[in-house]
Amino acid sequence: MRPAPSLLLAALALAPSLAGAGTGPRVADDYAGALALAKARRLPLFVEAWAPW
Amino acid sequence: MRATVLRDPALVKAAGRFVWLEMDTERAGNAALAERFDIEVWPTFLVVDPATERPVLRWLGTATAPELVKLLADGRRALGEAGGDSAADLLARADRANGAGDAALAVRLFRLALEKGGPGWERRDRVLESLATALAAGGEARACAELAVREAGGMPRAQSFANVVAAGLACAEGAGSESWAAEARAALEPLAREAVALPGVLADDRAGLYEVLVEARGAAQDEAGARKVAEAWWEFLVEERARAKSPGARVMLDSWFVAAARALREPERGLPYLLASEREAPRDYNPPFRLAALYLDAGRYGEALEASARAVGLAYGPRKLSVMSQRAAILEAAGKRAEARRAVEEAIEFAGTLPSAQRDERALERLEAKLAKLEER
Repeated sequence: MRPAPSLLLAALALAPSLAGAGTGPRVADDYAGALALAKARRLPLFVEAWAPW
Repeated sequence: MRATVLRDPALVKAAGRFVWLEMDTERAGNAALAERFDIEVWPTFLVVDPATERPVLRWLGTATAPELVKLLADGRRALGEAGGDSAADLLARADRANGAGDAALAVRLFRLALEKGGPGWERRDRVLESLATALAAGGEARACAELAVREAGGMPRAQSFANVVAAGLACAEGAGSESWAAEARAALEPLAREAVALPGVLADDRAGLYEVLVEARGAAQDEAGARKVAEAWWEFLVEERARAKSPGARVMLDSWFVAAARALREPERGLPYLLASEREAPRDYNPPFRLAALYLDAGRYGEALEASARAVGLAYGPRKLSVMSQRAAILEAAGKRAEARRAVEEAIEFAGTLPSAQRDERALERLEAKLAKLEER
C-alpha cells in the first residue's frame, strides 16, 4: 500500500538530516524530495547548482 | 568551493534554516530542472520559494562563506513582500527580479538600492557585485566595465572588490578595440594586480584574475608583460596547491594549471600536478581529461590517447561529449584518420542519448562538420 501524502510528508519531516544533527537537511540530486521536505518543514530551499569540473 | 567554502561551519549553521539541495547539473535527472532554473554559470546559488517553486535570489559564481551567510539572510528577506522603499526593500525586490531572470528590472532596482543605501550601506559591496554580474549576464558590457571603473577603487580590498574588477575587465576584454574598453582595461588592470595579491580572496577567483590579466597584456600586444604575469600565476598556483588541505581543493586548481601552462606555452610543466591529481581522485574524469589536453599540446599522442581513454571511461553527462571530441582531436593529430572518424561518430551517437535539455545543438553541428571534413579525401 502506498502511504498517504500526509504520512509521506510527516515521514520526510522526521527524516534525519543528511548532513548530521544541528546542520539542517541536505539533499543531493533529488528536487522532489527536497521540495517535499521544505514544504513539510516550512523552510525555503537553498539550491547549489554545481558541475564536476 | 565545494571542498572549502561550502563546508564552513558558520555557513552550514546558517543553512540550517533552509533545505539545501545539491544539484549536479551534469546528471540527466537534473537536466530539466537546470533548464527551468536557467543555470548557465557554475556554481549558481538560488534561494527558492517552495510554495511557488520560483527562485527569489540568484547568485552567479563564487562567494566566500561570510558572503553566502549574508546571501541566505537576503534570500529570506526576498521571500517576503518587501513593499517599502528602504534600501533593504529595494534589494529584496532586485533579488526577486534577478531570481526570476528579469535582468533589466534587477539592474534598475540594484541601482536604486545602491542610491538609497548610500556609501556606508553594509550591503553595498554585495550589491555592486550583483549589479556587475547582472550587467555582464545581460550583455551590457560597457555599463559593466564603467561600473567597475567608477566603483571598484573605493571598495574594501576583499572578495567583492576582486569580483567587480574581474567582471569589469572581462566585460572590457570582450569588447575588443572599442576606445571605452581600452580605457577601462587601463583603469582596471592595476586594481586586478592588487586583487590577485589579496589573501582573503578565494584561490579560484585569484587564479581567474591572473588569466584575465594575461589576456589584458595580450590585448595590449605586450608579450613580455603577458609572460611575466603568467609566471606569477604559475608560482601562485604551485603555492596554493601546496597549501590546499584536501584532494578536492587541489583538483580544483587543475584547470588553472592547464590554462597557465598554455599561457606559458609549456604544456609539460602541468603534467606532474595533473598526474598527482589523478592519483588522488581516481574516479574523477577531470584529471585524465586535462592530462590528455596537455599531452596533445605537447605532441605526445600515445600518452594523450591513454589518458583520454581513462577520461572517456569515467565521464558522464554533457561534458562527456567534450571528452569524446577531445579523443577524436588527438586521433586526428596523430594521423589516425579512420579512428578519428569513428570517434566522432561515437560522440554524435552519444549526443543523441542525452536528454533534450542537455543537448548542445552547436556542439553537435561542430561534430557533424568535423565528420564531413574527415570523410573528405
